[in-house]
Order: sequence, then structure tokens, then C-alpha cells
Amino acid sequence: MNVENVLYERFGFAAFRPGQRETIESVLSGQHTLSMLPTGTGKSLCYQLPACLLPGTVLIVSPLLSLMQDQVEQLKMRGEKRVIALNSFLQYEEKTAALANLSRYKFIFLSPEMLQLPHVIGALCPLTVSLFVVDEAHCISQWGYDFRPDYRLLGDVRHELGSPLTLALTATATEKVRQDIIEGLHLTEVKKWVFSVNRPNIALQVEMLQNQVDKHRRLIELVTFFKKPGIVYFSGRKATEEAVIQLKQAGIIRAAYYHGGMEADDRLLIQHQFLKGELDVVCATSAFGMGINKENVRFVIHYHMPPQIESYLQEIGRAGRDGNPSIAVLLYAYGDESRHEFIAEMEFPDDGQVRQLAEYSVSPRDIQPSLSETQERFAVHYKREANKKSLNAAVYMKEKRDHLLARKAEKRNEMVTWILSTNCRRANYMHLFNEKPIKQPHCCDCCRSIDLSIYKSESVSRRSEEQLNWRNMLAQLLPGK
Amino acid sequence: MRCLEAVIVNAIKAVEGERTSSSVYHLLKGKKSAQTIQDAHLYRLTKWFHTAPFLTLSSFETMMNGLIKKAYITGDLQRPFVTQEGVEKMNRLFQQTGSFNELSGWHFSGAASVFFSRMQLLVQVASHLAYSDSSYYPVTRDDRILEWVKRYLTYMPCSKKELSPRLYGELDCLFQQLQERPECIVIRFSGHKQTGKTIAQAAERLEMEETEYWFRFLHALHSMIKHITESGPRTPLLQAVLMDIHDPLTLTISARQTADYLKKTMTIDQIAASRRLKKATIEDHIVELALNDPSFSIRPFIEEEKEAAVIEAARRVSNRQLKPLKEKLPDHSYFQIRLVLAKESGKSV
Repeated sequence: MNVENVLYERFGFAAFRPGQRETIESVLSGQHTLSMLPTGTGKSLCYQLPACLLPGTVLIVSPLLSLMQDQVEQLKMRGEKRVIALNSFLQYEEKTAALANLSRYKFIFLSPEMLQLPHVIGALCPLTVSLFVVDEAHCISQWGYDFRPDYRLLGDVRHELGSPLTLALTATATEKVRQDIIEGLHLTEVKKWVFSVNRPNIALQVEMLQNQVDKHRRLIELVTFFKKPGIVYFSGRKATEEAVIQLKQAGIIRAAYYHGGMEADDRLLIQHQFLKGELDVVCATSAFGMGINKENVRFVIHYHMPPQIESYLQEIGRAGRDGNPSIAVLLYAYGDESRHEFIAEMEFPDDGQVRQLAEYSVSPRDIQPSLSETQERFAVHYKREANKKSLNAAVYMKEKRDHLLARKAEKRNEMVTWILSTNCRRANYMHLFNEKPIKQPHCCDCCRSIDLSIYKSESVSRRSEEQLNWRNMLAQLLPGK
Repeated sequence: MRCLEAVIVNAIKAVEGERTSSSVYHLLKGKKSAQTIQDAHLYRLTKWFHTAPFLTLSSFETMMNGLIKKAYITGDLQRPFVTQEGVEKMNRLFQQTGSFNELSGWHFSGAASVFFSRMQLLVQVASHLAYSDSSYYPVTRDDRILEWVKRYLTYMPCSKKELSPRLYGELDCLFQQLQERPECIVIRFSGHKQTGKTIAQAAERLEMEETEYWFRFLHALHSMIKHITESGPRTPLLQAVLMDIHDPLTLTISARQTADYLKKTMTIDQIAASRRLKKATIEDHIVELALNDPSFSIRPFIEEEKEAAVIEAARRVSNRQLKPLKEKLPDHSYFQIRLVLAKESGKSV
């Protein structure tokens, strides 16, 4: 059976997107594969399709719970029932039951920390693993963004599982990071597929503004003007809520906020509303967008700059998946980057917490003030590593922390430099990935000013929301025979 | 005054002079400790039990301090009293919102959230079945709820075709009797071509202050559960939704286990030893049982005369604190006094 037939019959697509075919054929020919596909091109198909043709189990390592859940849901929606996600949020009984019956599943999603548990490895070993997928593989490198210390142990895990055929997927990895991925996973012969990070249908614009008041005014102008739907990114939870209030006052009623502080059920509803076209704009933190397959997002605005270029590319990449003209606007006011300095520090335990961990051996769960999930992951990993190497844990942790903070500062500066540069923005970001510049129309504000009217909303419909009547609503939901 | 503030003022009013503000916090938060459960009954605050699980101690204290600042409450967090102005403001608010007559946190808060999640998913499934629309994302990611709905669809007392109209019929019938606006519930439902609203969105859409919406929503939910339980055969589909969650005896699981041991005629010491728990813990369970189960006999733990003595002493001491009672009853243990008080207040629920 050829891959096109499978694509059409199992997934309902007539054609592959750039890079999918190459990746899939490379995997099916039995080669370890590293594939860098631009955001928005459907990376998950690259393991879902081969899974239909390979006999055994497919393991997928994924760094984020929400990402895992999105992928599990998408598979289930397609009718694939043999899917499970193993993560630390499973109840003890659920986990035990799942581990006892692993052979029932075709797709097993795992967080990297689950792969550190001997009984999990023990349960995986008897399986025939036909494909070992490392999603968001850049997390393995401290040169990549979003470094996850526990990703570094995946190479050993691979060995324990008998070095199965491996597929590493990422959307944004520089040459250096790609090298780290290959070494980190202990891969020798690897087929590399690197596709351009460029998304030609997304025009780029940066606007310099004096202060937050100006930024708010401009945000409202832009959101009102642009064709919808769109996403606006902020770097704080409160800012998303405030912006929604302002947008609504300005007449953009179908606006909602989304951030990690909301209840899980509420977050899910906002996602669904957005997917179904019930919202014109979502004001969100970076928690929003991963794993959301929406084709027709027309604009992405950054109210705050992201902490690094890679995040920027990921986030603007949520626009224009249908290939139609879309626009990314970043609003910058002098000093915006300092927000990220503070946020970066919050990702690591402070000196007092390090001391409790290292010198008083307080369990990570009992540290005061309590550790966030990211802080705890850092603490657990580096304390163990220090012990293994017989080093002073406090000194080691602080060294690692300061090192990583310095890396983040570098990435931040790179982002600011990109913002302040007057050269072609597309050429600049492509250069970071060793790509040659290209000439294209509707490129960026530095090449030639962008004709915003292309992205203008056609209808200025001010929908007023209809009267609420519970019986009508209920009848609409639950019609008679 | 926000609705949640009125609820707090109301509870402080009930316990003023006898309890600290944190007892109200634990009550709203639904802490399953013997003390909180007993207080809920003693002060007749059971309807508010576990109705504000989203509270944190710091948000609660901020709110308390705000109420003190506005002079709706005097004293401090340790000994708060409600002022005349506080009472007036509270009454005015409850006039506007209604007094949540059918709210019953003690009986229903445990079942209500599961009931709502199930109902939400069932409506979504029914709606998509009715419109023959088979690809959609479920409103919940809770595997237990997802598994439940699968089982439900297999065993439900009607065909898949009939599900939508029959569910409509039952909900319509219930909503007509509801002592709350049915919109509070319906606006949260997802189905074919429409997605439910979040709590914040629902409040905004219905033009209510957010905590007012929250209490109205809970009120509607508890009211539904009450009517389903009572009207039985008229709402078979919804009754089946509720069936295995609703337990008229709201007991902690641990207390339930103690009850099983007691049925085997084991003594408190024996139970404590075999469960490796403290004697005091088992005593707490027994007090909980006395509070909740009208048929539970306290006789094995206290003789009739001693019970009468406690009742008599309690009548003379208006204050419901244990210490002055204990001083009057030197031959009784604290456990015996609590047990009798529990049994007595259990009768009045």
C-alpha cells in the first residue's frame, strides 16, 4: 500500500504538506530520522501515518501534558481507540491498570519523567516498539529554547528499550541544536530533513510605541481593522483579562482570554469556542495554541515580545495554516524585555529554596515557599545529577541555574536585536537557522511598508448578541425527532 | 456587596462570638473535619457547606479584611461580629438574588460537580447524535466521566434516536419547576454548532456579578438534584445520571469504613488497632455518623441518663462551646458530649 492511499483513506487528505512525505518515507525505510518542519505543517501525521503500516507499538515522548492530551484527543476523534497517555497526573490505580495492559495500545504517549521510573521501563521492555518518537526534540538542548533537563536522559532510555527506530521532530532547531538532538539521543546514522522555517504567507510587522497606553490604543485599532479570527499574545495572565475588557468596550464582543491560571474545563471551552469560530479574538499567554489545529487564523499580534525568536516563530506560525495571506504584528515599547528577566528567574528555585533542598534535604514537595512545576523539575533533576557526580548539590544547582539564566538572557537579546534591526526581518530570522535570504512580496515592514488593506476585515458587522431564552437554547441543542 | 461577601456575612452572623472567621472559611471550603461538619449542623449552615471550593485562605482573609474596613464586620478575624449595616447590606443583596432556598451544600455538593460534568457531556453527546454530527471534541477530559457516558449509552432506557427528545422533555419539565433561572445551567451546555460558556462568560452574558452567578448556578444544580431524587419515575434518564453518585448519607469514606466495623460489633479500640488509626479519629467518625444517620444508635457509647444530662446541660449553657459544658459534666468524656450534641443537631437537619 502506498503512503498516498493511506493518507487519503485513513486521514482524508488528498496531498501531503511540505516535508511530511520525506519524513514518512524516511521512517518507513527504517532510517533514524530527524525532521525539522515549520510550525503549522502537521508534524503529528509524520508518526501517525507510519503507525498504520508498522506492526508494533509507537511511543511518543512529549514535554507538555496539554500537548499530549490534544494529540490523544485528535487520534480518538479519528476513531483510534488504542491510545493512552502516561503522565504524573494519572491516579495511582489508573496508572497501575494501564501499565499492566500496555500491549493493548498502539500509541503510548509519555512525559520524560515517566521514562525515569524503572517500573515504567520494565513495562515497556516486553513490547515491540516499532517507532520511538521524540516530539519537540529541541527540548533536549540547552541551546534550544525551552530546555527540559529530563530530555537529556532520553538517550539512555532509548538504549534500555533496545534502541528502536527513532523519529525526532521539531519546528525550530538551529544547526547547533540539531547536533545536540542527535548526540543526546545517541543516534549514529541519521537521515536529516530540514525544511525552511519561512512561512511565506505570513507578513511581518514591528511597531515601536512610546508606552503601554499607546500600545493599548494601537491594539484596539489593529484588532478592529484586521480580518478575524486572530490571537493576541501577552506575557502575563492579568494583561490578557484587561485587554479583553478593553476590546469589548471597543465593540469587539467576541473576545475571550486564555491563560494557565484558569480551570482546565474553562480552558477547554475557550479552545472549542475558538475552533468552532465562535470567537473573533483570543487574548492569551503562551499557554494557548500548542496542538490547536485551526486553519484560518488571520493574524497574530504580540502585545508583549516573546522571550526568544523560536517562541516568536512558533506563535506567529499559528496564523495562515490554510496558506492564505496572514499577518504578524509585534508591538514594542522600550524596556518590554525586562518583563522576561523577571519571568525567567521565576522558573528556577531561588537561593533559599536551593539551600533547603541541598543542605537540609527537604523533599521538593515540602519546600517553602512551594516550588512551581518547572522549578521542581529543575530541582529534582540537578540534585540527582549532583549526587551521581558526588558534587556539592547547592553549588551545582546554582551553577546550572546561573548558566541557564545567562542563556536565556542571550536569547532575549537576540530577540531585541531582531526587533530593533532595520534589515529584512524574514532574512534575519532565516539567518539564525543558516538559511539564505529570499525575496518575496508582502514580506516585512523593513523591506517595504506592508499594505495592511490586504488584511482588512471586509464586513464591519457589529453583531449584537441575541436574547437569551433557555427553552430556545435547549430546543436548539436537543431537537425532537 | 458581592454575593460571596453576603454569604460570608451571613455565616459570620451565625457563629459570631463563638467561632473564629476561619471556621467559616472551612465551612465554605467544605473541609471534612469533625469540627467543621459539626459546626455546620450546630449553626444551621449546612446549605453553605462546600459551596465555595475555589476559595483560598488568603483570598478569604482579604475579603474579610475588606468587610471589616467597610464596617460590615467589627472585631477581628479571631472574633468577628456583624454590624447592623452589614446585616442590612446582606439582606438587600439576598432580596435581589433570592435566598437560595434549595441550595443544599451538605447533601449535594459532593454529587453536584460530578452530576454536572456528566449531564454536560450527555447533552453534548445527545445533541451530536441528533444532528448526526459524529466528529467533535468532548467537553471534558476526565476519563472517568468519558467512561461513564460510554456505559450510560449502552444501558440507557431508550434508543439513541430517542435520547435527544427525551432528554429535552425531562430537562424542560425540571426547569419549569426550578426556583432559579434555567439559563444559569443551559448557557453552560455544549452541543452541535454551539459551545458552552465558561463561568466568567456566563456571568457576563447574564449580566450578573460573578459570584452571584456562581451561587445561582449551584442553586439551580442542587434544585435539579432534589427534584430528580423526589420525582423519580418522571425523569428516568436524569435519575440514571444521578444514580450511582448521589448518596443521601454524606459521609467521608473513612467514616463509612468505621461504620462497617461497628456493624461487626467491634469496639472503638479494636477498630483503631485494626485500622492503625488513633482512637480520637475513630471517635470523630462516630460523631460524624451520629450527625448524619438518623438510625445510628449512640447507646453503645453512652447510657441514657448520661445522654439526658448532656441535653439538659446544653439547654442551660447557651454558648455552644464544649469547654463550659465539660465543666458542668465532669464525669463525661469530651467524646460523649460531642456525640450527644451531634445526635441532637442531626435530628434537626
